[in-house]
Amino acid sequence: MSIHTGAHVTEDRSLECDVCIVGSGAGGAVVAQRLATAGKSVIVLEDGGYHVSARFDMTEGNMFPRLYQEQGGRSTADQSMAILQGRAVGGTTVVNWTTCFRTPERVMQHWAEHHGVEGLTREALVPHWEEIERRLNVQQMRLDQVNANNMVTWRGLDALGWHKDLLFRNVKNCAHTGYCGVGCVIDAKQSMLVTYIPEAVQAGAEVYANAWVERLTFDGRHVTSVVARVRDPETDQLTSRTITVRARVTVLSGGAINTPAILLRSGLDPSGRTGKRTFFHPAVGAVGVHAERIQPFVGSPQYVYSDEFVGRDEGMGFLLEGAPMFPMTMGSIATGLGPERQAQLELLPYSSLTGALLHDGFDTSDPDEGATITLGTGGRPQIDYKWTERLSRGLRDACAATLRIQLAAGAHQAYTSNGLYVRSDDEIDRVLDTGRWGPCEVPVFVAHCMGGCAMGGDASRSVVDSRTLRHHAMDDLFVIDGSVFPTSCSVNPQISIYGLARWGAEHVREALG
Amino acid sequence: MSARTPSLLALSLVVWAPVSACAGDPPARDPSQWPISRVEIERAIPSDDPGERTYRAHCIACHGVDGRGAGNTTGANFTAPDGVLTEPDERLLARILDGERGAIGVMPAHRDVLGEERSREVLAYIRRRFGAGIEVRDAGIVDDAGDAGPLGMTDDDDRAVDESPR
Repeated sequence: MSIHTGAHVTEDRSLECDVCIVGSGAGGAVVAQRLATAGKSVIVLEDGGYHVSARFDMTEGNMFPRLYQEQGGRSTADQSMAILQGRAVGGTTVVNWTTCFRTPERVMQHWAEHHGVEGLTREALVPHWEEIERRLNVQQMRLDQVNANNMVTWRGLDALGWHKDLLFRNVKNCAHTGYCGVGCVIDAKQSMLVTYIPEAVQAGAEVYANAWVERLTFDGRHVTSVVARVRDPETDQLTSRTITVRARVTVLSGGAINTPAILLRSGLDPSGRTGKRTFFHPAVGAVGVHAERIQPFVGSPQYVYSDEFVGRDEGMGFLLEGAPMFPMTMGSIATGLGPERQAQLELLPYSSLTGALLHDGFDTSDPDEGATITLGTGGRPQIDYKWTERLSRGLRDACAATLRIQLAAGAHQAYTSNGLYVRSDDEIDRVLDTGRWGPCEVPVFVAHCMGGCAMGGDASRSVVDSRTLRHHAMDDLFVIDGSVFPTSCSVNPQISIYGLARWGAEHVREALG
Repeated sequence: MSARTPSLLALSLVVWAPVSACAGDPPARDPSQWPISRVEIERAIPSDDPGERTYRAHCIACHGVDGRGAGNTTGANFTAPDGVLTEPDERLLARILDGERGAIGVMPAHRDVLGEERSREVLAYIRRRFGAGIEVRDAGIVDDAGDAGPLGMTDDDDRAVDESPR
């Protein structure tokens, strides 16, 4: 019962167990804990490294390469969207900003009506959410805890008379240091790394870090083995060593993008839907420049949000949230170079950011909305997002809303990520009309990866059976992670995935008998 | 600068990039489509005290709202009884104007940014705001090479600084 890294695996290994779980993030960690504590033998294979808080040094430059996919540089093939997705024991939960929402009722109804999702209902999930929220100490922020940056968004929402509320976060003894995105140095964040993974290991689960699952092998409707290649934990390069796991049941929990890539590398795509309809909550926002010091890099990343533009009748809806500004991250997502960038960064301590998460996946006229995952060089996932007019309009509308919030909160100037500057509300429409809203014209930031192995009732339109999360074509293969969502969840997805995983683990246990 | 220097300092230095650098050769575009200037922001700081306006616009990033420099980590702690405010005005003014490389990091030069009059104003504000009860000592004592300097520098620190690549 322990956590092994690539350094411990000095020769090829062949292992047997009840359940092999691929991935240790929001999906895999919860399933591992449930099955290990139920007495099942569990092996977890994790591509990322094993990093603990003692080694988090609070710098973006050092931690992004260790804790994020593709060293923090993952993006769509055309580079129109920068994708921040975690990669470590604990997955994205190690680096997320701790924002917690249950899957909205409206979204689950849409899944039932338009994607044939049955079995997975809100009633089924509520007891699991309650247990997880208790374990992860999910609590609503208080107004007196909100940092200056989020207070700007709160004041702006208030001045406009728009919906506003305080967020829930999975933290215990949070010191509001603001370093959530590079790993919590004080273990206040109740990530998988400090909750379900230790519990699973204590109950006997074996976790292998630095183990990149290359493919599954099959015999008819059965998985015969899971083949992983071992990485050198120092260089992150693949070695010639392999770990081969023979399990009674296999669970894919690599997350959106990675789970479909494993299925495609394994040649399992009977419906042709694997990797299709991958969604990201494309995010944009507006920066306001204020007279008072805001220090948008100090304090927890997010405290406030607004439902004002959720589920609107016209076009793509979006969720508004306060959002932090860190020097490196901002440098990688804003446009402008040279003196303009220098001026923006000079203003950073006086700046505040309001972000908007666009709700992709709800255009019922477009069965191939979102991104498609295919295999690129070396079997790595290639991500192609289908940019639509609807998305362009949604991005523009979201920029308008966030500019209005910043100006209403007293900003002397506000600007968008595509470099459009306004000083007053009545300028917004005119200035935004001068902007370009196509791919690579407006920088888009992505932190939520969902879909690609959609669940549903129809095996020709979905990959996974929504009643059990079992792969339609296999008897002993489950997919339990954010990739099964038929659309984006329209909220920060961690609680949605935890709940799904705790519910799905019951079906895995039934399959084990 | 030591490897343990907090990242906030590095950030502060970025923020401190001289304003003049922004005036280079901006591409031809509508002036409204350009980041607002710091001068405009300073004008908007709600204070009648020009020293306070300068402090909030130019000093607070490293030295903090409370003047403590996050406890001598991001900048000198003005409130320390044995700290920088024990030094006479002319010496502190020279540092504000021409900068200094010390144990904590780099105090940037402000001669081009603030000029002498505004530097005197902000120094007076800093003394009023943070220097209550701190006794100013004679310049000669503090200036001796080898003594722990006002930023807590020692001989070793001096050597380390001199050998570091510029």
